[in-house]
Amino acid sequence: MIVLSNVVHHYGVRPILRGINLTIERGDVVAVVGPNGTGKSTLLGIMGGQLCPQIGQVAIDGLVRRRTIEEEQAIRRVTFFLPDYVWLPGDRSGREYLLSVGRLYGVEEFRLMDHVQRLLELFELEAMADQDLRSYSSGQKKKIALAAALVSEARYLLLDEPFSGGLDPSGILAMKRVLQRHPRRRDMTVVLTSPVPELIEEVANRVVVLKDGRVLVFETVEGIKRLTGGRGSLSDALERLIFPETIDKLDRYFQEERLPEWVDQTFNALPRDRQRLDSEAGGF
Amino acid sequence: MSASGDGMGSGEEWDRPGLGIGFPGQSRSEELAPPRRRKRPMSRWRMWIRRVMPNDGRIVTVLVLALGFELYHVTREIEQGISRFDNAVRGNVTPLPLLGLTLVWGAQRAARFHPFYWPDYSDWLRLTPWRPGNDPPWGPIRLVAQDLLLLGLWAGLVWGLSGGTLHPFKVVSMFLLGYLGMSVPPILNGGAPLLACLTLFGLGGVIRVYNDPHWMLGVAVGTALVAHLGQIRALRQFPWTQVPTVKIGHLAIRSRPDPARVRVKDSNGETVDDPEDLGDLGYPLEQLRPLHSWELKRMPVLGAVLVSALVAWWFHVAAIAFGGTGQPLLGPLTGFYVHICLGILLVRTLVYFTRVRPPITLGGRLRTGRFLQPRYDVALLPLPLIVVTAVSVPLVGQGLAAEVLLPAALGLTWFVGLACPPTLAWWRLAGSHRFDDAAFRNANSDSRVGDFVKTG
Repeated sequence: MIVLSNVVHHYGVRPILRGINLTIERGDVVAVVGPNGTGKSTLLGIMGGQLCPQIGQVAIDGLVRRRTIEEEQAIRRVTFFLPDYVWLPGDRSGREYLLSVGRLYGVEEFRLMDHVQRLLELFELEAMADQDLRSYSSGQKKKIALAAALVSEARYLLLDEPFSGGLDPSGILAMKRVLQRHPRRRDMTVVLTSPVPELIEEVANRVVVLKDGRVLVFETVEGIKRLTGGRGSLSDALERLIFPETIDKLDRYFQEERLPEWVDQTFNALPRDRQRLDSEAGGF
Repeated sequence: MSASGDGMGSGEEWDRPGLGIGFPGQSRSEELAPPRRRKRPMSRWRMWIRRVMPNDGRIVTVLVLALGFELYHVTREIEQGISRFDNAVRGNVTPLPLLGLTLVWGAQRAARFHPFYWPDYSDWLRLTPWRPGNDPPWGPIRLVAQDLLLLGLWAGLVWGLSGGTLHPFKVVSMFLLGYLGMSVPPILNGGAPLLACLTLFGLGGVIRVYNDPHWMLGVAVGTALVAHLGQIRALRQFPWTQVPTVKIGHLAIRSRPDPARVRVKDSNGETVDDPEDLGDLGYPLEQLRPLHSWELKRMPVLGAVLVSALVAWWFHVAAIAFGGTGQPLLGPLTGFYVHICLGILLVRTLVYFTRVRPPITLGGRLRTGRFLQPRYDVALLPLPLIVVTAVSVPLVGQGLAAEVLLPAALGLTWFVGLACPPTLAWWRLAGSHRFDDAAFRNANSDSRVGDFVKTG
């Protein structure tokens, strides 16, 4: 379980997160969504230990992040944080890198070898597996980074935009399926960010909506749809939830231009003239 | 078949297959082949002494250098009429090269047969039945009787070549200085840091009493006994799970553990040999990974005391060796003192603050009123403390001799730098800094280009 208690964080004088309170249960796949600059990556960075909040704390399985050496060490053994940009050692092969990560997280050697091979096959990296990472394309590097997250077998995966960064459709499909299956089977908790509601709808069972540094909603996908009238996809629901004023503006923007009311009434009172005018104006 | 009666040379044995006698099984080509000289087997004496001697090439090199040196003296004798056996000439010119040569001999003797310095030899050795307690197959690590014999002969030769200015005890001590200096890294690597530290103290002592040959030898022999204990303890840890990260030719300094030799399980199935270092895993894994067992260990206070004392001791030894006593040392020493104090300041700063940022900027502190960030600021405190110690101790101790005061101040400054909390483990795991990702976001950063590749 991940518990965020009154987390406040800002860069310099600009506040990013203002009093975030969240409880993420074991086995959940939670997506964090919100407008750009609303603090999604910051929230994930705080959960992942990259950042330290000014106020508040993050607790994972009852252990508080960055409180003591023992607690932080225990947390690090069970969490894997993957930011949207990752630096990989260029002089290592993909296989070596995955093996190193697996060993780091204490995966048994015999299982590790097999798991690495299966991941390389899953992400179609077999041909590149024994070449240096510096020769990989950006999409391949992203795949290796995702594979590293999976090979760690960490109980908590914190993934910042796992579906971006040049991932091809097969990689997206592989990652989607894994995220749909692993949490249920392995009691794994995943927190991810993504700007693509369609992907979120397929993998996440709960959604955190951030706006202006605060949690707007923390609900299931269906719950969010119900909140916003129950019509359409998650994308429509999020639009209505996050940008209600924008929706109104769009409605007004796309409305046809209307004549003043008294003109309209006069026009309607003259049916013959109206027909003639209609025909002359070409139906305007 | 001996052919000594035919005048071909005494002591040599020749095979004469070309005599056409037609030995059974002899081929026509053998019959027509020129006579071959069959070498006499090497004598036991020669095998015994060769066990520790430098290889032939090096001996030849030394002889050539010695010959050149003698030719130099002969030239001077011819040109200036100064006898090359004149003590004044020999005493001025020859000691330094001879002592240098002795030092190098001692160092190569320590490194030549030690598997620590030869990774391929070490890899092969671990597959053999050899275990510590016996001399390794290539040659003995410890000093043996052959070394004493050769050393004695060399000391006598040097004494003669130097016109009697170089006492034999000094020559022997110089050999031990080289030998023991080269023995320290394996002792340290083998898990005997205290003995390695004591050896280094002793080496400083050898240089400190350079002017007295008897004391010099006494200190050198005492240090050698300590180092011998360290060698035994270090060899007991063989095979080491280290790989060299600094190589000079075949000479390798072992640094970090070998990631390939990772898991060793004991009878209970517990992992007893963690992968101590898997190499840099990039960002953010390198910053956010669980720390290894050795990273969680804090430097004990005793360790900080020993290291600081060692630094102070060697500073004192260097001051005496280069400046002597009773001379105005303050000026020259102060420069070195400042640099070495700055060194510990720089090291502490780099170790703690490389690629981390404060949780909030200075402007943020002022704007939000959160002036203090205790779990971050605590790591800043040792820095001014180092500076204060470095400045105040010499001022307080004015009146003491410079060669005593400045080393003492240096030792105290280093102690503050090494022992002052917070520990590095606490800082990395529980400090309220944030990891600086700016360097990794910058695609043109030259800090990692070529070594790392970026995703996303």
